[in-house]
Amino acid sequence: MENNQSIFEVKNVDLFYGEHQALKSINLNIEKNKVTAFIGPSGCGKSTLLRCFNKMNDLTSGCKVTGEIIFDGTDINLMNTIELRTKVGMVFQNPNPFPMSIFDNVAYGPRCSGIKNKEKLKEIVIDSLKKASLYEEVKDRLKSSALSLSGGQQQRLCIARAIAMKPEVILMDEPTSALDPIATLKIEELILELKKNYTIVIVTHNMQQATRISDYTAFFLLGEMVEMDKTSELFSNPKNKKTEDYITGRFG
Amino acid sequence: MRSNKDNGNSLSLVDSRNKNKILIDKIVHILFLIIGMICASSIIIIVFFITIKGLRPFFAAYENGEKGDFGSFLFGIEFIKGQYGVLGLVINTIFIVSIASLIALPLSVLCALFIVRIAPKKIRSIMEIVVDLLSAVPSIVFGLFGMGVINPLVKNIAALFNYQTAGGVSTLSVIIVLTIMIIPTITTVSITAMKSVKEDKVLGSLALGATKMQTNFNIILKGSKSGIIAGLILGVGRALGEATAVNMVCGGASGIKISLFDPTSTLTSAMMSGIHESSGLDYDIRFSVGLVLIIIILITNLILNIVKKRICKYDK
Amino acid sequence: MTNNNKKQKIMDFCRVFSTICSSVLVIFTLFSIIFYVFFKGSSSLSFDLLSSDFESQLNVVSTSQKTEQFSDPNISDTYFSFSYGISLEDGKSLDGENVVKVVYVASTSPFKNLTTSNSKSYQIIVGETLDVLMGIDENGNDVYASAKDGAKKFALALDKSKEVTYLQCIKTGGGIRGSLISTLYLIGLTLLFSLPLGIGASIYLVLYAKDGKIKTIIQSLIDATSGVPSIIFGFVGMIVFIPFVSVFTGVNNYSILAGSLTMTIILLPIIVKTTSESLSTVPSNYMNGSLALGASKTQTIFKVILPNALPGILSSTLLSIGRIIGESAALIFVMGTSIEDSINIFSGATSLSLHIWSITKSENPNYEIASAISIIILLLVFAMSVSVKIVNYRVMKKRGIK
Repeated sequence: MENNQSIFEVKNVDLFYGEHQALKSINLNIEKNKVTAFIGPSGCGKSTLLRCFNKMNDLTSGCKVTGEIIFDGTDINLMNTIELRTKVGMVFQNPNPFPMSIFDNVAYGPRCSGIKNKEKLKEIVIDSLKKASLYEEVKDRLKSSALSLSGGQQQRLCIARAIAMKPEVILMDEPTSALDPIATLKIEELILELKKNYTIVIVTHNMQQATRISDYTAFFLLGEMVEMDKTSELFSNPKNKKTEDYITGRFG
Repeated sequence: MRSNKDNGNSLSLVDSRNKNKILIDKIVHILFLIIGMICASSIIIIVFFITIKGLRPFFAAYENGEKGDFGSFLFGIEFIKGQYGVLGLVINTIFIVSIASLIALPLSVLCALFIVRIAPKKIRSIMEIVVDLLSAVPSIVFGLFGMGVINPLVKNIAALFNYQTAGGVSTLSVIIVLTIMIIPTITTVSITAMKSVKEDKVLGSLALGATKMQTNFNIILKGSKSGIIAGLILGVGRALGEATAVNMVCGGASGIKISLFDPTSTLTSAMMSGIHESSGLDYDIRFSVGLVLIIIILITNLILNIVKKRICKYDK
Repeated sequence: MTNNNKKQKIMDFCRVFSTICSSVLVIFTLFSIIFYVFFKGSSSLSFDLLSSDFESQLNVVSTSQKTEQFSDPNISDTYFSFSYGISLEDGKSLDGENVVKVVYVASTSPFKNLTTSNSKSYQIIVGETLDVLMGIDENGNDVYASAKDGAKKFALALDKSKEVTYLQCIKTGGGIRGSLISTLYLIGLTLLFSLPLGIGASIYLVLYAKDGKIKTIIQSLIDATSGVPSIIFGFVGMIVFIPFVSVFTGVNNYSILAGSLTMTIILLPIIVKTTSESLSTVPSNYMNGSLALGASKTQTIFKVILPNALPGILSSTLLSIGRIIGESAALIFVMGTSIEDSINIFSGATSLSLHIWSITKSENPNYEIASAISIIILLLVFAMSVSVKIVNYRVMKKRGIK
């Protein structure tokens, strides 16, 4: 892993929920324009780490983070939170479109950051929907409620919403766990497509998914990062016994 | 794609915009905190001013040399101009409210039981609407109903016993009006409590061979005890604090009035009557009565809550 | 065993019977209240009642015949005075007394151009009533008529009089226009103050305050406010808000403004409770989703959370309106009990409830008018109560489908 290409550098990060230590001295780098997958059993801290990248843990009371996370050369603690979140988008486990029209959902972020020009908004919305390969399905009903879409479409809408902010990184927290296999496949295709322009960090439960879409994989266990390597390397030739046990299905 | 970076000038603009956003967030946070504080402070304002004004008669000197006497205020029976004893009012109030709640409690609980467990679906929804509407009737309308219907009714009843009433204004009228007013309050809360009794308890009782009705009375009533008492607390609070309707049917006599057919007066009716014409001590003493009312409401709440804890000791 | 069974059945029957009796009693109570006010009040309830002033206006005028003879418009059941061009009808006042009512005035009638006893110009309009008439006929004899004689005799007496020396024209009073308007003012002002405060406080409690002491204290203080009887609020209004308003007006007196401030603190706990409930049902992932897009918390609250809590806010508004319309004990002390026709928020007036209070406390309580106002109050309050149910039902249904 060449350092000069990494967009996130995580250095000695510990995270506490009150007394409970959820992450223990994590060190890793996320590479630019690659898909990095975090795998591990439930409660291993993979989602918690993901939420550190855009400081969503700030919202949880009693949560304390120590150590450094460097984004594009700047410590994220020194960055403006709002600016960080515009550059690092996030897609959640359950599709959470706002109860507004499809158009307004995608235009929400740009509007919040002060874009008022209608033509420009329309351009952004159409462009984002196209990139999220949703445009063809919804182009006739941009004004109808986002809640009328199917689960898979809703999740792609959420991805489009994130893309509309022109982020550099997209964080995905188990984006397909609430979806059926066909919708999951579409999202996976989309992720491979998006890789060209964005850095993607994805948390997944599903090891096959990690092998299908990711370039790098990190394995977490009980708040520690056990191993991180190229995906092909990690799955075919794990260096750690625990990783091997997990990917061969002996626990988890 | 990365317009922020392509355009070096706009970067600082975006930066200051985001800083502003965080600043606005902080200001808005403080603003909402202040609003919350204002809302919370209203009870403090109420207690503070009523206390100050209510204690004034016993400490301040009035222009015409009047001065309230604390002892005769607390233990005096008569509440008339120049002689302000609150004890008679307190006894009347407690007497009336106790009887009204004792009548209203069983009626409300039975009515709630009917709605929740016994009535067929259609009748149930009609009954729920009836209870809702009855609880929405404002006290001025209850007062008018009391004056127009209950007073004449009481007058006729008294006439059966060869008793001459003052046009029907009496303790009994007040009791009837208050009973009607608090029935919907207790019923509504009881309905909620009875609906939340778990169905498996009911099935368990039925499985042991109890009839449906036995189950309804034993399991449901026991299971919703604490809710029913909570309803009673609300109802008693409403009855103690009710002023308009009581004032319209009570007649406003001074002294302890236990006889059902005689005019009476309660704490609230004494506070209300004649305050527009009064001044000086006569005016301020009504705030002292208000203070007594608040204290009585607090004590009643406290006692009923202790009762609730005792009765529901073994409930989870 | 069978004996035991029988006993059980009888017991069960008694139990069911007792619940049915209680329920019937509750239904009976509601219906007797409704029946009473409709029975007493429906005959007085009319557009006139809603639109006319409470104070009746009495004007004394004098005039004389013109040479012209007017043509009768032939309105049924009316009596026409040919020499004055005016149609009269027997009617009843709002108080139920017999009156002579003007139903038509010819455009060139002398009654269109009158001078009152205190030399102001005046014209009789349709709807006014005429009371006492004194005049002089062609031969110089006195003519006299009064409303008690009925419209027919009144019209004849008018025709006889060459000159009308004394005529009482009464714009009928007893109406509730003033109280209706002041109720509207009261509702408007109160909502203006209480909604921002109540919604703001619930936003703080639900979306900002972290679990802890400050939140618990604010919450329990607001809850405690809801247990205070309204007469106590009235007292507080009298010693806090009336002086407060007098700082601006300079007059230490009852006012609608002070009334609305008092209502505001009465309503706060209700609004905070209802709005908090609906704010906390807004899914928390809307908040996360919006923040992750780089929206600020303020933007999130106003663009995503509040629009979703609108049904709750609507319910609390409806509940508040119902409460304002029905409130009497608190307002008696801050708005006064004198019924006004010209309404000004800086001076006292009666809401509909206070109007009832005021007329039932007078020497001769007019139960008909009081009941008519009660009908209006009940209809409004029931409408509010039902709409709250409808709003809640719709929200439940929507959430269910989702």
